[in-house]
Amino acid sequence: MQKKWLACTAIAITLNACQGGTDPSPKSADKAKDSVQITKPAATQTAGYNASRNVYFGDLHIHTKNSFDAYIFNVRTTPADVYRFALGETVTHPSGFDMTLQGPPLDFVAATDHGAYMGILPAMDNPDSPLSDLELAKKMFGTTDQDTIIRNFQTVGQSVRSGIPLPGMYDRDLVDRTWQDATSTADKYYHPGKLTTFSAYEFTAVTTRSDSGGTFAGGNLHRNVVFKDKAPDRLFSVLESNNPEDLWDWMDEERAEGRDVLAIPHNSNVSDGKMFDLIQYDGGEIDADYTSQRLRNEPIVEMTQVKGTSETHPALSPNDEFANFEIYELLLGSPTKSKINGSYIREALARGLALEKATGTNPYEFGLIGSSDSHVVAGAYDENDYWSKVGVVDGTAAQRGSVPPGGEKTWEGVDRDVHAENWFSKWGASGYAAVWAEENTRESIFDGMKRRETYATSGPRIRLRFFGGDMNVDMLNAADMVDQAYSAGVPMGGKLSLDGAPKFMAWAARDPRGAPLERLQIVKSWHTAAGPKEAIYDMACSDGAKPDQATHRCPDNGASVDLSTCTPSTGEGDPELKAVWTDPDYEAGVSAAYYVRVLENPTCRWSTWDALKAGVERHPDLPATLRERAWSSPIWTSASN
Amino acid sequence: MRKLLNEPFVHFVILGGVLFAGHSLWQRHVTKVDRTIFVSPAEMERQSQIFATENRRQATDADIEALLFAHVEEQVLMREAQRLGLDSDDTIIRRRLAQKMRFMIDDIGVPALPPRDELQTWYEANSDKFMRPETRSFEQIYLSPKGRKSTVLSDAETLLSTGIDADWKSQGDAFMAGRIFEKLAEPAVKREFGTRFSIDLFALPDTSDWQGPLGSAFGVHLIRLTDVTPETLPPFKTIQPEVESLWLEEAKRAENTEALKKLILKYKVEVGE
Repeated sequence: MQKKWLACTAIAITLNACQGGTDPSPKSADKAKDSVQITKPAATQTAGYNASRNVYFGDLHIHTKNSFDAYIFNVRTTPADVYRFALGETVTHPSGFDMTLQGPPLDFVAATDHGAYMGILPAMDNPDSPLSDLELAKKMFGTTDQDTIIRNFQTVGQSVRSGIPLPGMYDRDLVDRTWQDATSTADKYYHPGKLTTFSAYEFTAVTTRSDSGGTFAGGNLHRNVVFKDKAPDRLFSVLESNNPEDLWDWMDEERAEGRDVLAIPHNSNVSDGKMFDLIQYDGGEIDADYTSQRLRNEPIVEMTQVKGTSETHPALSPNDEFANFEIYELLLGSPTKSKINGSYIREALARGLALEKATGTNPYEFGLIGSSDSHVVAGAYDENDYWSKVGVVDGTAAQRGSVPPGGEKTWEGVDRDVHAENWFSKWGASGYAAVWAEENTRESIFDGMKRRETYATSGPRIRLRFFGGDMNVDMLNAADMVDQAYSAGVPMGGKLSLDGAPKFMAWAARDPRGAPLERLQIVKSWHTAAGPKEAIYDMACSDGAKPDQATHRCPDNGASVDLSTCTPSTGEGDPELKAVWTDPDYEAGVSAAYYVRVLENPTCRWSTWDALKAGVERHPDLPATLRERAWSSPIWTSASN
Repeated sequence: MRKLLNEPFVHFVILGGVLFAGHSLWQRHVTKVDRTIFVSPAEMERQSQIFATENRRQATDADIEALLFAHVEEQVLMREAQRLGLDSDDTIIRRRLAQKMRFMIDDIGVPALPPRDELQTWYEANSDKFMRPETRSFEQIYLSPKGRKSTVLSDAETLLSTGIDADWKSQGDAFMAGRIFEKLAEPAVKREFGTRFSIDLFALPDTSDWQGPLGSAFGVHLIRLTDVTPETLPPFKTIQPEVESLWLEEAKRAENTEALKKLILKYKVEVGE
């Protein structure tokens, strides 16, 4: 009690001091602004500044011990460890092994602990804290019986789901202090030009199913809330409201106070059809107000992460032979399947265009990123060095179902673990957020995200440019290709208004550490009276091949993997693929969204690597290989009437 | 009577009585000192301010009463616990006291910066801490294996041997990251081109001729170095603030360790068998 008061006083004093100290007279403020404008370009540029923009790779979705679930997974690492890992340092997994980035350091990163009960579980486990005397604390931390721990932990999970705080446990002051610590740690590790950090947290909203009989099943409406620079002293969690529209109201207020902020929806694949619904949260009709508020607050969506990729579902895209990629369908912590319609991005793009036709505005105009959602402060981006994400729950290969349980060498006749089978073995080693920005600073990267000049990858650092507008083939080999493309059109995330068939240019380069590229595709999504439509066109093929005129597909390049070593056995692939493409099926008056997907040659999936390293038979029902890939943000075209 | 006075039991009773009387007297004295809980107006003012900050409103009379009651309750419980000796060898209390002492040691104060010349001597002795890595600037002609799978290397060698003219920017293929690179240290080259290329690039002799070909995951590159800045130690006067902050950081750490060491030396440590 005493401790709490003291801390409060300290905060109050700091606040007063801040107000007193940084309140310049209007006159001096104006003067400062003028001088900033004059000196800004030279003074603020960091090493590597590029007016034609560089691509920066990062992860905007990582949890630490301050997340209520991560703490239960035995995670004891902190936000500072998130930044240390991003810089290339080694951190320790709760199961005891080391985790280090295989690739170069990350360019930007955010720790995104659950806002609800942030920092509360560590306090409940700390005998110094009065929270450790709670009955619930004793039941979670005073025993070693896993069932008791899990059962009582679910009480906390249930409160996050319902948005109803647990009396006693919800120490708001401690949440505030944890959040303020997190933001000051983010500030401390921010090194413009080297590592950009953002103050961020997760807004963990979940819908509940009326037919689930009070079980965990619910639609995931999670968002990561990312501040551009300054962050408030208090966050807005589901314990205030679990309606994302209330979150947007709060974000609007924050922005009005000069603290720019955006929210990134994620895991729409398990949103039970709610993430890209055709109605508002409370059932009301989507209107222009709803749309402008959603667009203002949610310019980008996280499309791929450990718990599945949300591009599209094979059932929605029967003609897309690459649609079945790291699909995860079960509502979180539940055996219930998520509703497909309303959960995937390609369909959402078409839904948005349909809503635009009906209401005049499109709520589903968003850019794409990937991230990991690691709960162990370190993202597992590489198939050959995978540690999944929930700490001691899936830290070993046997726990995640890639090797047979109980030290067996084969899968013949073994009792498979139900959680490993249904959940962890279906998760994937994904992904990265890529942002095109002038320099590695908070301002530049945040602006890139607001402009939607972003893309997602499933793990490799593939470089990808995508432009729409007045593109021509000569530009492909021009030394100043990128500058020409910027002035002749719009980059990924942009909108085109045109009379004829749209033209696009895409250029992808492999990750020097990854596999060569196999094909470059453009995906078109639009809407007719009959419903959502999609078409896939290969823009460029590897190994000198050309797309078939009728099917628009490249021939298979014959690349394959030797599963006994996980090294390439046949085929070549290309270091880069580029093309200019005009929509051959353009229909006047039909608005559409186009995005690029680039595929690598096949490589071993993490589950195959796990089995290979353990010297056991790989799981017969899991895919042995996958095609790593990158997806651009869309470019929207609309007829200029 | 005499016999009775010789009885050990009687001795016991008398001694006990004396002890009891003494104890009650002592208790009465202690109680006078200890059984008062004085709540100063300043303390109440402080608590209502905290209340206002927490609850975003002023405390009502009822709130103040509740605050007072909670404070008294805590004091009473704490003192009763002390009276029963519950504080002795309690892990939490032990840890907290040690932590408070550690904070006291850490708070001894910021060490004063040494004179400039002394700082400069320290900078020279610790030059590895301020070293800037080698950077290289270069131009490249990139040849993609696309369309010339088997000849890409010989094409590059031919291009190199026939001489590259001023028109180098139009030769070879477009490369996503461009043709001109300025002052890149090894990690940046690695990030752009991969490890193999980076090692080869930093091994190239420092001449202004076109060199190579160097291989990478992307294909083949001809390289012209335009600048090689060896690993350098920036002059003291240009990075004095950086030197000062690192000196302060290290001095502070050394001071804290020293203070703790002094305290430890006051003790004799015995580890039981």
